[in-house]
Amino acid sequence: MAHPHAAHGSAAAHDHGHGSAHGAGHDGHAHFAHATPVWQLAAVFGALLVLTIMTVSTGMLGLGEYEIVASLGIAFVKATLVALFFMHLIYDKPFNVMLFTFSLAFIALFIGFTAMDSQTYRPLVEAREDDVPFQRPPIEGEVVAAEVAQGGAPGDASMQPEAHPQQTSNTEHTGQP
Amino acid sequence: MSVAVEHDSADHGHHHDHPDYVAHHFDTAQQQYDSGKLGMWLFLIQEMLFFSGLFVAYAVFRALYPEIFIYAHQFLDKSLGAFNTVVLLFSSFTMAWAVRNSQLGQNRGLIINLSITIACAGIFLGVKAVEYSHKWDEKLLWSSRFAFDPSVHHASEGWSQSLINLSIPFAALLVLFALGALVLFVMKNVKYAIVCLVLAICCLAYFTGVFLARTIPAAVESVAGTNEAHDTAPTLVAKNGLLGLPSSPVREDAAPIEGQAPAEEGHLPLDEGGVPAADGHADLATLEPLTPAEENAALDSFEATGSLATHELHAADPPPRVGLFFSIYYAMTGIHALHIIGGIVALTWLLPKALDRKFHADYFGPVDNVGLYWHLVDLVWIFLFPMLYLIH
Repeated sequence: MAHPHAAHGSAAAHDHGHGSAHGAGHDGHAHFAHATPVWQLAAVFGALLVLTIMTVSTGMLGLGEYEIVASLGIAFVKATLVALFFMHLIYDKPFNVMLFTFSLAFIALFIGFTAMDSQTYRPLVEAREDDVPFQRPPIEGEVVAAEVAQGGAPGDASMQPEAHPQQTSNTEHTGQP
Repeated sequence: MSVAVEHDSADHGHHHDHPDYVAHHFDTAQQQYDSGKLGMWLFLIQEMLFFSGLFVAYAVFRALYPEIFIYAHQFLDKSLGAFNTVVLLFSSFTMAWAVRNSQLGQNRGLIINLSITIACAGIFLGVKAVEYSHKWDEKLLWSSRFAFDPSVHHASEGWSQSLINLSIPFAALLVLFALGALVLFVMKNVKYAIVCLVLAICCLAYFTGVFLARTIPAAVESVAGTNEAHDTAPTLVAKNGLLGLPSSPVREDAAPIEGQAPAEEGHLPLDEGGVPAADGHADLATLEPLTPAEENAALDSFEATGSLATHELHAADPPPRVGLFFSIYYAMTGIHALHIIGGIVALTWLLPKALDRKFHADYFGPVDNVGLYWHLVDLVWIFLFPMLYLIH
């Protein structure tokens, strides 16, 4: 861990003799720059590539609903590698690590509580959605059949085959006259 | 030279024991570095919380409407997402290396690594522009403007208007920076000439990204296309059949899938998996999108009869509210892309300092902090990629 400094003349030349009472680094010249070796950065990059290939290929395993768990799990491993090595958190001050992990904890709370809340009210939301049907905005050039539909009685299910006779398949499905 | 002196206010930091790279309100270089880094971490945490709002929106809507996400994922090209992931990871690698360069005073390496990082950002934006333009061409827009019509497939070959619109700023900046570099070289202002040159390279990288994004999906298709089609098509058909969704994957690139006839102008055959073909007019009726009134009528009759069969009427239609996915998609990737542009600006800010040889073991905070920001942007993408592109 100390080797990068040996390579750097100007820092190495005058970082001794001070700060012995305060511990290394207090005078601003001893070892506050930790340079991550290139091989380590390259190894992390290689691991991230392998994990990317893994996450793409999990789609071919057919894990079903566990797939999101697998791909997010791999994403967490990748994020940890980036945070620890590329962002130097493994060599950083514990206080910065603490800030980072606390924010992650609060994000987990944020997502967790909101998801719980939205699930709690889901039946209410769904009941409301049935009252107000979704209206897709008309596509450019689309024939809007609203007038045709409004000609029939509101809620009259039988009007549909007349409104669009080219949809031949629906009479057999609906069972309507 | 480096003793932490009790410097009196009269000195104002011009004391010979106070190096010029340490601001006068800091005692030591390390104090300055630690303060800057703490500030940067606080900013990054704020950024994470900001992005987490978007992740919450994603989680809530995915839980409420899973069918939207399953339907919409077919419009996102996995190979382009994976390519951009690799580009960002590589740029993170060169950025981390640049931080090392700055710590060791390796100035040439620092400039090269910063330039590669900036170029990678350009490639990323180029690929993103192609992806956006494909969606805009098909009117796969956010919820209020969503007007995708499954029966009309716009072949996204060549330069569509939306891709041209997205590329105009980069073309203009390319000319500007290339000319700027030329003029500054003539004026012997080498430092800013190099900065302009790197930015011109970034714009060129954007067009490289556009080129790659238009060749990669077809290449992936031809290399692994056969296996891919055999693996995914049946499962997709099965899943969509259960959900009442179209069984045929509508590709955003118009590359012909093996065994299919090449796409005709404006129409891609949709007959894979036994679904009515779109290019014959006989079955066009089933693919015609339902108007709101029709949809209501169909829903009414569905409720009246309780028949699932009526629901199959919707087979060719996107599920209701599918625009929600694209709202989330554009918000998340768009804000991420803005952060990439912000990263380019921040990295460019470092270049003149690097060219002035400002960075060394006691002063590399700016490089380190921009690096932290860049890695965070990468971190966000690491999560966005599986969440948006790898849905099944």
